[in-house]
Amino acid sequence: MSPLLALASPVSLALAALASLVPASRQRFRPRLLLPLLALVALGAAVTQLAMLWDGTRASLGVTLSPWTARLFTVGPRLEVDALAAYGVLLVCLASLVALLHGLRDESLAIESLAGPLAVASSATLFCAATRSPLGLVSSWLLMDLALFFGAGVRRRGLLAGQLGLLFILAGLMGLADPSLVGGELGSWPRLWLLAAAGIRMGTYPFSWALPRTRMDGVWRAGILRLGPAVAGATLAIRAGASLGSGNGVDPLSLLPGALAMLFGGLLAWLSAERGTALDWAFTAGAGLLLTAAALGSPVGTTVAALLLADLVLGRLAQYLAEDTPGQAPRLAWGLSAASLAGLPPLLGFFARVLLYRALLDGGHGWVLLTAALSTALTAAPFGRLPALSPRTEGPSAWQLLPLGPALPLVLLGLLSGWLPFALSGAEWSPMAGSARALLGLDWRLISALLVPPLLGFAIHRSGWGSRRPPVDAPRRRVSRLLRLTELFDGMRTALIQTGRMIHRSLGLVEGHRTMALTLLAAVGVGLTVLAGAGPLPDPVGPGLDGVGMILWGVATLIAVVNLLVTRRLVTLIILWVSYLLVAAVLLVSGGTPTPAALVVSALVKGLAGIVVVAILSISVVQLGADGAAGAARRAPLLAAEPSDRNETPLRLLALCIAVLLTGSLHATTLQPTLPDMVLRPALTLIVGGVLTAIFARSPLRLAVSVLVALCGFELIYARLDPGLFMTGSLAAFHILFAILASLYVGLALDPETA
Amino acid sequence: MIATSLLLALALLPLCAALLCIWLAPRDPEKSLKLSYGAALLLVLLVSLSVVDARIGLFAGRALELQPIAQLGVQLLGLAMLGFLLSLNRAQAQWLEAWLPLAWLSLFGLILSLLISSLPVALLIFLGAALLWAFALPPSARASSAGVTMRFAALISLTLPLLLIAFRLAEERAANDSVERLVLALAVPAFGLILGLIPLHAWTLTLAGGTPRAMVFGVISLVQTTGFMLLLRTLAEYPWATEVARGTLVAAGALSALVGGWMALSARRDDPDDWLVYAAIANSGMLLAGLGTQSEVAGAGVALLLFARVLALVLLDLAPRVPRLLRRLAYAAGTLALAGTPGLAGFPGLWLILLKLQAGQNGVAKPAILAGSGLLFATAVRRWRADTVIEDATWIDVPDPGARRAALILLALLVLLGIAPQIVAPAFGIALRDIFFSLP
Repeated sequence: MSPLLALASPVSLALAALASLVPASRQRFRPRLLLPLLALVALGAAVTQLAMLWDGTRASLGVTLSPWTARLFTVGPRLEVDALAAYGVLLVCLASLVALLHGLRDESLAIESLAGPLAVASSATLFCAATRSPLGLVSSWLLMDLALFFGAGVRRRGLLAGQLGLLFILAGLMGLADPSLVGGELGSWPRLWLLAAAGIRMGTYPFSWALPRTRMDGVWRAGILRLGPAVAGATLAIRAGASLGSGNGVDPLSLLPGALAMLFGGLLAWLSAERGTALDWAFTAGAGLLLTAAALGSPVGTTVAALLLADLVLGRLAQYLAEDTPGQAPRLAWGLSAASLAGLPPLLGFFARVLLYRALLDGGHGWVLLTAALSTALTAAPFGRLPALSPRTEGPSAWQLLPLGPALPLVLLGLLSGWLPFALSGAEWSPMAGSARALLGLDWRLISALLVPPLLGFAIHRSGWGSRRPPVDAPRRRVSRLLRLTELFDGMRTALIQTGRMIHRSLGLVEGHRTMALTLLAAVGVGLTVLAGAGPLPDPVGPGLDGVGMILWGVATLIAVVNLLVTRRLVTLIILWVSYLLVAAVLLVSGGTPTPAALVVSALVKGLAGIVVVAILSISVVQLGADGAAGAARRAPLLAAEPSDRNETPLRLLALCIAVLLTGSLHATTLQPTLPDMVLRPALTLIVGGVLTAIFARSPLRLAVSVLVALCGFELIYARLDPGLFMTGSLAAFHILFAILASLYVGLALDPETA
Repeated sequence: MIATSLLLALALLPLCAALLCIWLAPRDPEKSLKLSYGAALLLVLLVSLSVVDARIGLFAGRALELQPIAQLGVQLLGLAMLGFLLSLNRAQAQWLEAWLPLAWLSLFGLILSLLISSLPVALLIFLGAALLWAFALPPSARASSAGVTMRFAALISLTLPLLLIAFRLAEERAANDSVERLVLALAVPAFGLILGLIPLHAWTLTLAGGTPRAMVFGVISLVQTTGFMLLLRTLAEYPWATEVARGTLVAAGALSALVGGWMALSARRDDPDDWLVYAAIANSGMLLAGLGTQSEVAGAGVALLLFARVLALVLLDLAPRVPRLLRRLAYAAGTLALAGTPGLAGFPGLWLILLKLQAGQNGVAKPAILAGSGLLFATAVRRWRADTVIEDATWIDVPDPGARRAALILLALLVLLGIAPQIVAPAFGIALRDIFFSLP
């Protein structure tokens, strides 16, 4: 039963989401009662879980989500709720319930509009519970992406940010020493990947698009839509942060995401011209502080991050609810929350900051402390100049007390903070005692960093400095846009696409000759890379070419050159004939005569090749005859040259030089007994020459002949390696010839109607 | 006796279907298409029922054998053929006349190449079956496609001598490092060409740009799938190759995944084919990297991913034929399955591959493959609004409820296999038992 408890919260919230989708005409229940009831059940389950795990006698409650029991999938997606996960689930459920109650006070609220936020809340609880299991983490991340995209209106950019986070998750998970569990000690890079992914989930800078924007016409929704994913991301961040190896110090790089979020979140909050935007950027700055604490690692980092998470959730929730509620009580709630979020004593945020700042100073990370202090001042200041939201509805007085619900615990938890995170961090000291010790040290840097920025921020806030300026001015908007990096990311995306397109276009891969040339060049390059990849080849051994060998090689080179440069059909046919003679001569001289059966097959193929060539030639004549402009060519088809581009001649010569250099420098070291230089060099020359001509060929005849010449080279190699291979190779040659002939044949527009 | 009969039936079924189509298609194209559906389903059923290791002796010590790899390959080919036939639903009569006999004849050759025991002979048959696609175009497409198909034929043909020599040398390598490297230097570009891996992929692009869509899908789904199975056979035949080629496979795979993903994202939004070809290339890269891990589990991941690839390609082939929203969904799901995005059928395979890639100290390969997958995701998002509509004269312009139903089933299947791959995973684990993997 207890393992199933892990499912209770996500399932209850998912049921609430589904219930809200039932059309009003078909509802046989009272949604305004049922939905809070289901959210209450979720909260109850979360409290029960935390109570069961709080004393540490039980490590976790687990349940397998998908029975991937096949031998291959030793680790399926699981929910593994430990104290940290239960804490996260509790915060999500609490925020969801309170925000839901606040939203439901509006009689005109369309119930189906609650489906999205409730789905996000459900996926957030699932995420918190799944952060220990690798596949659970991936699955729940995906579900949350879907919930945010379809239920919360996150746009395409948010979806891409989510996917980037998922890739970070995968990169981090691949570095786990034990792939069955997220936890234990992590290497520097996997830890950083997971922290970065957590940052994206929390919508920290610059990936603020990962969370939906706060809309002031229903600001309470942010209590679910923004806080749910933030808690989920924070749970992951705390878990990843706690996995710092015992012998390792804090990598300054891991503090960077948090510091960036604090600095730019603060700056953008300060520059905001709207209240909703200012709230969002202040939220980002708070998330950055939490990320910094998590990156410090256990036990101080875990404790502080847990405290800051409660501070963030309760403080922001109280502010969201207070924003559109008239009266003194909401104003008090807003003020208390702002003070706690800025770190004023004796509220919860204060004790967290004392510990965090002390740890940063002790670790030599003064620059992060400075950033945090600056961010505090910047986020506290702007709300004074921004016009307060006029109350949308005049609710009954009882509702006005609701924002105090999350705000008052900030005082209470601040006073009791020695008790709260004890079970989460496993620390043997209480935050209260730790804070007291840190303060009693009377370090002026610590005290000034704690007190000056919030007081300065609130002074500006109270004075309403800057409120006389128009709410939207062009320079401020420009700077704000620049800092949001939206244009930078758009520019990078465009550059990526345009560069790819340019490469694609400039390579001209779909143009005939280039396709052939580049593909063959790539094939040679890949082959040579593989050959040279494993180190230098052995030195050449054995005799070089004697006089006869040189003559044979010279003939092969001549064949290749003439074939490449002369485009007349008669010459092409002569080249083919000479190539066959050369093969016979090389085989006779080198002593590698194939078996009679192989020779019969080879002769048969040669005969068929002749038929193919004649067929191609005659079809070409038919084709030429169809073209009135080629009358001369029709009269003397054998002497006609194929159309050629004079600009290609230098290219052909260059290709030939490279080919001669390549073939001339090769020695049959590896296959010396089987393939002496006398065979290998003419063979390679014929192959390279044939392939080069195939690249530049513009008529089927030359293409066919050049492929045949290349195959002559291969035949030489086949014959020396294995008689069986000689036969197979001959058959293959026929295959290829037939394909070329047939390709040509079907390419002819024989039927005038279909031409 | 039953095992032999089933094997014989399996080998001959495509040939019988081809002969039937040659005779029937000019007279009654619709009927021949319906018969083809039945034959494709029967093929999948037959291969699933066939007894593994069944053998029929042929000439000179060669035989027809149903090895586990061949069984998996024929199953995948059967599915791909079914998808190809679905995409021909409601096609014009002249296209049915041209494509049905060709596809069945080609499938006959491709299946034979998986069943025949000798690798060189298998290669010959494979090449013949692949080249068939080059010269059986319908009359209306011949003139415009001649140049492209001729180049396709020439390039694919060049792989044959390379592989023939490589196989011969591999048999007598006698623990000689230099010969091993020479074999790889010949085999890697050859298989790279067949599978269209970067930088040997240009022919797939020209094919996509210059030939009818049916031919492109026929080559990518049928010919390249067989190419992969032949690669698996080669690795099973020469176990040392998996060890020696490890780094090469992973590096080539990572490069293809990354560059393929990038190019797919960069493809013009109004181009219906380029992005798809590049997505398939990126997916091929992931498969290749999986083989390079030398891990048994990753090998099963490769098989899972290959299965997902076939389903995704079939879905992408059907996509232009279905209504607007479903078309978008089909394009997106197909691309995401090729990308190995979580939640869809490609993910379990990619997960297993990535999980085992860590053991090999392949520091750059993992981020490259992940980045490739991410770029394909971005491609799917970018193309969501493009709503690619293809102007193709292949089909009669009427609503096609059959294609709609098939697309819905495939979508459901892709999601189901993404969530519960254990339905098919054990079979894929068994299929690769012949390949020597040094790691679990």
